[in-house]
Amino acid sequence: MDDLSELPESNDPDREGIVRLEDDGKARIWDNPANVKKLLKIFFLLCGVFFILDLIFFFTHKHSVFAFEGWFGFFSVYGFISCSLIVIIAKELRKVLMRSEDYYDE
Amino acid sequence: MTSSLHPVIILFVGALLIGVLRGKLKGVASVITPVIGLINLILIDRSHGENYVMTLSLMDLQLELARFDKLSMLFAYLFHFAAIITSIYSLHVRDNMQRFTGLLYAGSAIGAVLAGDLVTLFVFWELLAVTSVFQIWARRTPNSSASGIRYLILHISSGLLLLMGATIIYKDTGSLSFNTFDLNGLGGILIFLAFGIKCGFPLLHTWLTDSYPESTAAGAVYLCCFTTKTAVYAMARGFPGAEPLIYIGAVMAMFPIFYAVIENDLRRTLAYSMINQIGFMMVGIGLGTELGINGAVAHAFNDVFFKGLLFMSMGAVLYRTGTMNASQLGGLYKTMPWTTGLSIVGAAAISGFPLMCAFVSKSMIMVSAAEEGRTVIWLLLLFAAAGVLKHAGIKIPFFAFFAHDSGIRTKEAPINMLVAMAISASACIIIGCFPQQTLYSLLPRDFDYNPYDLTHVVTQFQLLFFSAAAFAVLMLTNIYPPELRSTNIDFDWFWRKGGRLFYKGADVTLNTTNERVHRAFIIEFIGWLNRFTKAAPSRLLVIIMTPFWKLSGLEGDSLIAKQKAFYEDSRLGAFPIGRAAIFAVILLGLLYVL
Repeated sequence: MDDLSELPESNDPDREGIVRLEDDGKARIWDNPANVKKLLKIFFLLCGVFFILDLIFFFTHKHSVFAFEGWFGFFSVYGFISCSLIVIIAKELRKVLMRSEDYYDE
Repeated sequence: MTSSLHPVIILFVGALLIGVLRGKLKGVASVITPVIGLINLILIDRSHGENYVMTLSLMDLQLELARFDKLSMLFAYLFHFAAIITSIYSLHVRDNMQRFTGLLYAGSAIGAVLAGDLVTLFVFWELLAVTSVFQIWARRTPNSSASGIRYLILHISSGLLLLMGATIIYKDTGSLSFNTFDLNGLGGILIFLAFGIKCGFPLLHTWLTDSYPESTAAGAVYLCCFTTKTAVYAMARGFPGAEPLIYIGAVMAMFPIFYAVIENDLRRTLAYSMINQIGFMMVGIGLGTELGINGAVAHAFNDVFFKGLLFMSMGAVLYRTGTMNASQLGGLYKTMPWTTGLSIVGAAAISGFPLMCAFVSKSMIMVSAAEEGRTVIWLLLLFAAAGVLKHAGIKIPFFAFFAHDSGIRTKEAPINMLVAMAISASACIIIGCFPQQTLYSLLPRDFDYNPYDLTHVVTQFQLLFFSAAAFAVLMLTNIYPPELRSTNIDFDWFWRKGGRLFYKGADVTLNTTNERVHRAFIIEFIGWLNRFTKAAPSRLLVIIMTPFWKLSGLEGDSLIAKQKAFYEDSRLGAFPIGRAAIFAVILLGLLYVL
């Protein structure tokens, strides 16, 4: 059987299928909040760089079909707003759509 | 060397071999078979060139069992690659049924894309439905059995619609060839719907989100590679430039995004993402321009690699942890680092990062929408592209491998899974870096497009980074909705809950009606009829006799007494002989007159 899910879980690391091991106690890279902070800093810095990179289109031609594509920061703003809207609308949709996990089994 | 062997034969024979062989040889056969198939395909390509057709005369019908042109060849190659990858991925599977049907399934898909006429297409279309359902049933849970049945109902319906459409078209035109159809006649509309079911048109899409999460770890990878891609091929062949596809595609690209955000099951999230990606392809086909069609086909080609990679990585997680719920997963990067890395490659590829494969195909569709002046469609697709990053690019790897630490410590995925994932990941990167030398040279239409232009690269980075920034901000401010164990109702409510409601409704109304009717007709009416037939002749006789009695001077109580006595006599049939004789004479007279 593919998932072997009918077999009990095992602590044996050489086994196939579902394996549950003990934690080895070692801290990994993202266990340290300082690393997460560093990553976020780099990420937001890159966002800033790409936003400002739009400036180069004052010097070279921005290939666009629609006029609004040429607006400064159009893609950055559109991306940010789209993604926020998606999450907020989806969150509201939960009120209408969400049922218990075994909804269809009842 | 030349070859004229139909590619399907190799895969079907390979499938049969799996049934005969034992032990490790089974696995070897399942990988070698599609490799031999691929070599055969290359030989056919080399020796016969374009527009080679394998025909078969069956009574009056001239069937085109295989037609090799650029479009069908591209998909035939794709499915051979997919069969090799899925076979490697499922090497650990011991379930014979799944392996056997897996190769039959790949073979059916190849047969369907090579079919040059509607009869051949119908046969492989139905085979595709029947062989694919075993990838769901192989899970062997009550949920997967029920889901498989629902899957089969929709897919068999699709085949029947195709058959009906083909019959009508044959009657109207006398031709069964599988080329472009128009939507002006019923035949064309039926075929459009048949393809639409397999493409996952809105409201007909529920089989996708229903069955993928219920299938086995390897099963979902098989399903994601073949069925929908065959349908996209059929749509590109049959309905290029069909206007409705643009709007249908836009809806498909939009609505699954919202579901994907709140879905807890990560493979269901990927199934929604699949509908979203097919939406892009439908828009490209609907636009009907050279660039649009090429973009749709190229995106379908890439989708097998990046979506397959994501399904494989989630399959590995399911295989090792036994769960697919985002709410129960997290922190797996600690024990599954390779799977994590490969999953991130898939996530970057589907999001369309430059140097990744979706970047070079999705943009072809976007540009062709813009060039056709479809402003609203273009804005919607751009919105959907930002959504892809959110629900597939970030959500899948983030909630499975990072997010909060679930405390689950498990083992890296088996080596065969890692190899399969690595092949797909390499394909994503190679196609992304060298589109001209790889994918673009296979595309069916002539076109001129370079994805790596400064504007495109910069704007794509802006779009992706700021979408990701929105996610980061929403996470940090706790606005982002938590992953919850839940079911989100979708259109399948109508036949899952609705079906049950209908059953209950039918139970109540029909059984009550039945009971009422039983009481009214069987008990009351029959009783009445019984009494009526017994009493009516006597009453009639009394009514006939009364004027005579009145004439003979009977009145009041004596008349009533006479009537009662006569009624009793006639009811019991106790007439004196004289009276009986008179009635007999009257009856005979009546018969004579009549």
